[in-house]
Amino acid sequence: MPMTDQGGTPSATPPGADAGASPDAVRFEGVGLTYATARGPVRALADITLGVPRGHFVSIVGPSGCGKSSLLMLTAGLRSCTEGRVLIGATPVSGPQADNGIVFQNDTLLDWRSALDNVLLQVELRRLPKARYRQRATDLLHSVGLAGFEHSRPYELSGGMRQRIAICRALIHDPHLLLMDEPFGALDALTRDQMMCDLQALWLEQRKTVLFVTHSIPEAIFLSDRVVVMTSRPGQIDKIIDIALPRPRELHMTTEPEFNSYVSVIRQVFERRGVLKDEREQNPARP
Amino acid sequence: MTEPKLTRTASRQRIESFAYPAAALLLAIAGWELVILIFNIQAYLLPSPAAVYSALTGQWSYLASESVPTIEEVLLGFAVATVVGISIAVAIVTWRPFEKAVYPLLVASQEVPQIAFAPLLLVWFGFGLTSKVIIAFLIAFFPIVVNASAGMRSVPSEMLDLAHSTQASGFTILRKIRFPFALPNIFTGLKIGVTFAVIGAVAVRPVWPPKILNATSLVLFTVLAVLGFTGSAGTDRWVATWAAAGVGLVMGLVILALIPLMPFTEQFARLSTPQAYWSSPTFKQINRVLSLAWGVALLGVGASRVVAVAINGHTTRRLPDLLLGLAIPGLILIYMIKFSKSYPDRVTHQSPAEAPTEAPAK
Repeated sequence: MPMTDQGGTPSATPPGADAGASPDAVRFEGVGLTYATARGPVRALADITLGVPRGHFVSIVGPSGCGKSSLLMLTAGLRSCTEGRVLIGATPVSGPQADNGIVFQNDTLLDWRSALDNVLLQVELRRLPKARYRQRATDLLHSVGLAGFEHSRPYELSGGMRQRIAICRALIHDPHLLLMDEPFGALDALTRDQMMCDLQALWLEQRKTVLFVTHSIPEAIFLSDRVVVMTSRPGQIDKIIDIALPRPRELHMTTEPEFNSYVSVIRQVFERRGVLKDEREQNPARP
Repeated sequence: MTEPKLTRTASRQRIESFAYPAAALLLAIAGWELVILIFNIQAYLLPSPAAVYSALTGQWSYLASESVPTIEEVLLGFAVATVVGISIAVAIVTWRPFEKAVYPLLVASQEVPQIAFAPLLLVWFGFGLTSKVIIAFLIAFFPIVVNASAGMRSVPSEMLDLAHSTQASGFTILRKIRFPFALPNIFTGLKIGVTFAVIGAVAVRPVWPPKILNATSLVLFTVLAVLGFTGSAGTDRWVATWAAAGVGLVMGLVILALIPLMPFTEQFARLSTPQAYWSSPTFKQINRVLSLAWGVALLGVGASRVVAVAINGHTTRRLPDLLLGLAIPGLILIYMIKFSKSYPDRVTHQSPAEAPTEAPAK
């Protein structure tokens, strides 16, 4: 894999990061994933080595089919890798984990449960004492702006509100690791911007380790301490970029030169790898 | 300002939702009565609504007391089908080896119409409650299994990923997610199942000797219903295209094949003719001719519809389809109804020696 500056070592320590003994909350060590299909084996992930430092917000950005979601599934213990290993702290992942929360692109709420009961589903499935978490669920819903909607059903709420409930559900049992798989992918542009700001506020307050998968470059830069750029066939890490923008970041920063220089660095990776083509390359005959 | 208007609309909608079907029902009954009056259709072919009503009121206590065991059989069969059906669906969804072992057998078993087992069950369990509950169960449980397992399978994969990520047990996931998720499908299955249970329980009622016409049409109806409810979209289309033609051909053939044993009209004629005349040559001849004519007529109706379907594939013009699929069968049937009425009179008038034979009508 040429032209990469891959590395799992934590660099510039972001504000609030825990300086514990093991700096990485999650480590991928030479992870590969090969599917057996009818037309032979397909390599979805190859040679992924990456560290996610405790308390950091790390985004994985890449084109569809680059295996970025698979990486999350491996971390959650919902799939097993075929090469290498995934470590949570010092323990290799061998199945579903007690200490994480997942948010998917679809809110996956249950229509027959109220907002509050949807948040508490996580508690019920994990067989935790429900009564003890009721207050926390209410507080979480309040903190994401859903005060007064505790007893609404998902179908009465907008897409953004539903996704907020899903985020609360992922946080209710206070996990150290939050896994997010394109959580804003199904939302409209304005709602996405708002969700981005709100997620940052939530993260600044709780300082969870977040592994965030997206195909939006600005979203990744805005939210992250570190952006992992992946390319496909097979899915591999092309570049890891630390984002040194000050926090809290505000929406107007997305149009400033410093922000845009990060955007162009990531764009260049995709252009070089043929994920993005501009018009001149597509029509070389033109002047 | 807007609220009174809204409530008025709502109440109006309520009235309309009741009034329109009621009006349609009244129209249908009026049309039924009218058709019988205009074409002078015999009661043994199609009784009038008034006759049905008077039979209903006249024999009310008899009908009511006879309904009790039927309802018992239906409900028992349906209850067993529900419990067994949902249990099997749960096993299919949660335990892959079971699915692989049982599901193909289940589908294959449905290729045989369960009504075909009815005589066997009657022999094994007698005319009592058991045989009817079993057949009601056999017919009702398949749609319940299919719909319940389809519903429990329709849970989005992300939802299941979420559930598995919490280290929840299979049973917890079933109870909290799969089962509630499948409820709409489960109720669809129950809705079909209860209808089938009624068919099953009624089909095995000991009406002896069974009327050829009733038995044949019941079997055909059941086969078509099972195909329609449980088959794929392709089967559905096939049934919709060929059912009318197929029913005509099969009924015609069955009627013709049974003439040497028992002409179907004779069964009806016996109801209205004193037993003394049952063995008279005129009575036999009338019914043989009538059954033969009906058998040929139904074959003709079926054949005409086969041609209609065949032509339909080759032309977009509606006329041949209307003519062959509707007009010709209609004319054949109208002619046959007239013939059934006039033929016995003609025969009995020709041979006054046997005048008392008034078959098949009153």
